Amino acid sequence: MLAVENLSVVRNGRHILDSVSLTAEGGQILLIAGHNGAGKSTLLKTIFGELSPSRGTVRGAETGSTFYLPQGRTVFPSLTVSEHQRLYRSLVPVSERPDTRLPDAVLPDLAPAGGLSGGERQWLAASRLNVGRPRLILIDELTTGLSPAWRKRMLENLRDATDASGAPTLLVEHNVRDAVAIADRLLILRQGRLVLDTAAAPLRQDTARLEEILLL
Amino acid sequence: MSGRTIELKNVAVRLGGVDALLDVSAAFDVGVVAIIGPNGSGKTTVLNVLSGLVRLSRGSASILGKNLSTIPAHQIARMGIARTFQTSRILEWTDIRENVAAALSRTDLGGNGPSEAYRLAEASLTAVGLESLAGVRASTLSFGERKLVELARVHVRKPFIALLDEPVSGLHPSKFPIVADVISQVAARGGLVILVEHDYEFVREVAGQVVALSAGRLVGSGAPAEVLNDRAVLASFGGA
Repeated sequence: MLAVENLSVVRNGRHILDSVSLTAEGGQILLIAGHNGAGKSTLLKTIFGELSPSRGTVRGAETGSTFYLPQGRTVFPSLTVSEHQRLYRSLVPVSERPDTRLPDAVLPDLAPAGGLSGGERQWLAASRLNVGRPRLILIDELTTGLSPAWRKRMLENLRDATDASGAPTLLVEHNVRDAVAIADRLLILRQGRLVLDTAAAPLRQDTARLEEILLL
Repeated sequence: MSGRTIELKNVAVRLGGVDALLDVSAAFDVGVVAIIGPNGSGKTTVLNVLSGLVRLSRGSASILGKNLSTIPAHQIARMGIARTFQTSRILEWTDIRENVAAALSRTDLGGNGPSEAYRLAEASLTAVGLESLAGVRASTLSFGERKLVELARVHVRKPFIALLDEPVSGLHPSKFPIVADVISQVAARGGLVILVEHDYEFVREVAGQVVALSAGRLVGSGAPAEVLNDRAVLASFGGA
């Protein structure tokens, strides 16, 4: 379980996170949405430990067992697709490697990552999700730059990975309409504050309510 | 000035041993054109061709009748062409007013000095809704805010041609009208906007023409309603 209590982050005089508290059970996907600059990425970075909070605590995010996918499609330009996969596997203890294949069939094995398109790099960076059994999954934008068909596949892959690992998952995502299909809860951040935390399942049918929430 | 605004004739591009574009021919005049297609279909490569960032292995590309292979990339920018990238490229160590002002070339400023550059930059930051952050150091901005700074960098130049790579991806839907406004301002001045975008709703709203690419080939071109409802086009995208 992940427990975040009263988390605040102040940077350069800007209050980026303001007393955020949340808990996530194992196997749950929390979809986190909100305006640009609302503090979504800062929340993940602080939980991961990349940023120090000005106040508050995070429990359940032990170093080494957390899968964190930052924004920005971080791949190694000179390594090929299959070299990335070997690298990803080598970073995980043998005992924690599942037998499943990566969702990579769409990318040419021998292509250097530097020659891939933006969406393809995003796919490759996110495919690291299928290696190992993380105890916490933090994802900053899974589907940015992906075509509609790939968006759906990547989101379903995250659902499977969360179920398989039993890890709590925090998914920051702007494509809320797509992501609500695989999420357990929807949380909205606004100017650094958590202003909504609600069950996702009812929103799959109640699209009018979902549109209202997206205006928050 | 003769001919079309942009003309691609049998354009082929090979990048790192991979065919990114194969025999693409298209011509655009003015208005808003959206390029759609699966990941890796060559959409961004078209923008790179038009910015002079990649070399053609076959065919020719021209802007306002001038063959691009004869013009260096920095001079292409001076022809009134501005672009954004999928992942924003802004100057981390300066504030965002400076970031936007720095996009203005001497030609853009027409003999005016820095104070005019800052005034224009502030107007463009207002246009994208970032006026309250004008003095904030760029390195503290979020991904979405950076994309809006890039958009302001295009807006401030009042370009004749704007090339926008996924302008709304990573933005909150409340910001979509801002992007649509900047796009329509370029078109309203008689300019041309070419955008690459996966959000088909946004494409329907802003584009007058849609061009579909699949595996480096042109598979459809026409009005948004036509192309986005064309089963053959969507089938060519496959599961991608």
